[in-house]
Amino acid sequence: MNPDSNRVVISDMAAATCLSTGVEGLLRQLRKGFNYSEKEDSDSAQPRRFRRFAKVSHDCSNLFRKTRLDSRLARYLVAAVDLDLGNRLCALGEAASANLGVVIGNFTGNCHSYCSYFLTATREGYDSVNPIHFPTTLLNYPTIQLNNAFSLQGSSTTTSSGFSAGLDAIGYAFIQLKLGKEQILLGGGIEEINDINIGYLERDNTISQSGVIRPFHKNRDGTVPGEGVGVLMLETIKHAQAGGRTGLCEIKAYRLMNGLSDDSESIFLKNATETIKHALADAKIRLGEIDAIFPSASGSQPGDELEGCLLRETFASHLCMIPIYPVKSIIGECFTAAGPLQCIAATHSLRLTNGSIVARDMERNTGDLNLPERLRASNNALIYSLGPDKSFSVLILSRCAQSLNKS
Amino acid sequence: MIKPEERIVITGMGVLSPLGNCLEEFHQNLVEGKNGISEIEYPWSTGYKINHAGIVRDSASFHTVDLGQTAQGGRTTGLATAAVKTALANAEIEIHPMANRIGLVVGTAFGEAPGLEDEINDGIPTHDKPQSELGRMVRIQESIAENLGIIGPRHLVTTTCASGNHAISWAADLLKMAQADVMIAVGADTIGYVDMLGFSRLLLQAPEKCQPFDLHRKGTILSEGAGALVLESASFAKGRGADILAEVGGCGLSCDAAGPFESKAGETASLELAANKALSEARVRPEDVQYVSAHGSGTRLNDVKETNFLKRILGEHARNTPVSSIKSMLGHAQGAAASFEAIACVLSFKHNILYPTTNYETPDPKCDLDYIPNEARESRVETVMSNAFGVGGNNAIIIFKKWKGN
Repeated sequence: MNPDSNRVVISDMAAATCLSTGVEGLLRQLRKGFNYSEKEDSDSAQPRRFRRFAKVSHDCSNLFRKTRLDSRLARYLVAAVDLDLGNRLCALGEAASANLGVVIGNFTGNCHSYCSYFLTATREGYDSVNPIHFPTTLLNYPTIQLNNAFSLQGSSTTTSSGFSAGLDAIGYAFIQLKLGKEQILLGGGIEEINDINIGYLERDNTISQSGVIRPFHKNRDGTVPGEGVGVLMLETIKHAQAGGRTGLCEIKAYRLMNGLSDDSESIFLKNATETIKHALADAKIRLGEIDAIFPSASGSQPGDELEGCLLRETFASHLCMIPIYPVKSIIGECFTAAGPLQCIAATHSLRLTNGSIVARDMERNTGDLNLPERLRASNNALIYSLGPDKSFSVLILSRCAQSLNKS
Repeated sequence: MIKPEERIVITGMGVLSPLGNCLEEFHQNLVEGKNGISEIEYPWSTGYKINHAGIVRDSASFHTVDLGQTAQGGRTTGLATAAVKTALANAEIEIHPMANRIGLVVGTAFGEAPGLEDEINDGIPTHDKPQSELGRMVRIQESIAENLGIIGPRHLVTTTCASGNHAISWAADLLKMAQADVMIAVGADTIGYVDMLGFSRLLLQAPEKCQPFDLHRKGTILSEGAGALVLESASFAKGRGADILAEVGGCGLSCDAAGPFESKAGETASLELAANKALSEARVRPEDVQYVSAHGSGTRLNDVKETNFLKRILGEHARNTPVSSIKSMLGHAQGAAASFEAIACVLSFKHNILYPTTNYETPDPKCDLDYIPNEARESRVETVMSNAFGVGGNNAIIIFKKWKGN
């Protein structure tokens, strides 16, 4: 079998963020643009000022109360997928659903259920625990609930490889499709705010006091803990065409790098740069053909500085021509949900037809990085997730050629 | 370069289990039908009704890593690190020359969550805890890598009792994608209060012994441990002159997609889906399967459901195919269970022996296959099926093949 024949496309998406439930809410905000200005009366889009957390929006809360699941995380995963993909999943039919699998990245999602179950038992006694709450203590509970809600029997995988678990889940799905083991999968990431992930940010002193996330800005003061859901429907192009679906964009490559905690910055940069270059080689794309970057940048001082160094080291003189879109400035630091949400933003840019970006004089506060206010059309997007644990995952997405979408 | 047709082989293994901490001891205790379950003491025993489990104990053969000296992580990480180190030593692989080409996939149900219970019980708010303790709940793969200096791709998959097989499947896929030269698939878990309580409150735990497929079975017995397998592409292994132990023929995954309490014994479609995927990838027919390492957890429903599944997938051949569950001796090590069973399958190839289902006293009319009752059986097999069915409906089935070279 020629693996090049198994080209993989994203054919649909689902999302829930602090903005709204549904992909359209995220896209609406992306159309409004990104703003790094410190002047709130500027003519450009207003900077998003968060309250303490970027929690999943109220309309999702209303939607997911209907699902009657015992885990908040499971409820809004099912609700978000139901809203954006429900009709499509139902239209697949029983036979197709039987072969559709799910891969979800989830980092700390069950800790609240686990602690609650444990404390109830130890403080109130063995018999006080409701037996049917035990499954909610499992990290894979939300993923299983998604399988159950739509009778998806293909597979059910939960990955928890760290902050980049959401992007890794998409990468895993991509690998399954590329190897011909599956024809269609849902892949994505979920996260809810809890003591563990807030603890990470507090420990590193990276929570913003201003409530505004300004990635790469010289006056950035940190990030805002967030939560969300990002799920993509991935298919081989043949499977999509057979079902009368078009590809929104193509996934060309996935790579993962893991360093050690005592790695120097130079070692990390060298390895991360190589990882990006390996991914480009896998995708058969040259460095200069990347025309959009969706970074992990969350507004933290050290994190954004490291990412800036990485981008300069990797792209060198090309960098000033490549627009960079830090999606977390809009959605908050959503941990494992962030990577898939970055993919959704990238997919949107790969679908636009408003002409390619032209470098412009950017406000010097962002240094030499090209941070446009508006999302523009692109052909090849680099998305990456970088965690404080030095886990670094890379995806490359490309615009679907017309020929790919021919029926 | 991606090679979907690449053959994936096993070149090293390491095990820490209630039946021994090295492969020889593990094998010998399984052959003799030893009981790895013992009485345990629990710190929160008020009202608690189950006090038997399988625990990894120090033994004369425990020569790898002193768990107390593991640089990072809790008990689960310590067990997993020791298993990985042993497996790499058996495969004769030095980490440092190729650290960035060695990867890791960890399969676990609860990770370091049991260790987290100590902190919760102290009553200290979790957000006041430093990251190194909080984050260990699921970051075992990172801790193992830190302990050993592995910097290739690392993942953690959590699909409850199917995690061990899932880790093997994922590791094999990463090798086919050429993202590493060596992948280590390790299943590991330790016992915490929540999982003991959870299984007990759901009436899934037996009081003293696990009796898979027996008429009077009362449930499973939880245990702990770690099992690691070193996987390589056949071409890479042969190129470095490695001793190849077995082949990972094919892997199949599926999900019941039914509620955790709605699964029925007659509904085996999802299990058949996983099996067919594995058989197809391994390019074998159901009648080529010569032995089944059952999930065989000893619960009322699962054992009947698995029996029905085997009859459907193997057809008439099911009556002639020996099936056994080593959980009867080891207990149910959750994320490590499937890894133990994978190691046992490979040892079966080596020693031409099939391990028994012990504690088998009274046949169940609903479970009427050949379960190799109570005594190991000499048998030369070349194709085996290993089943792992997780709580919630995760299913992972692997076909292992005896390595016969070209």
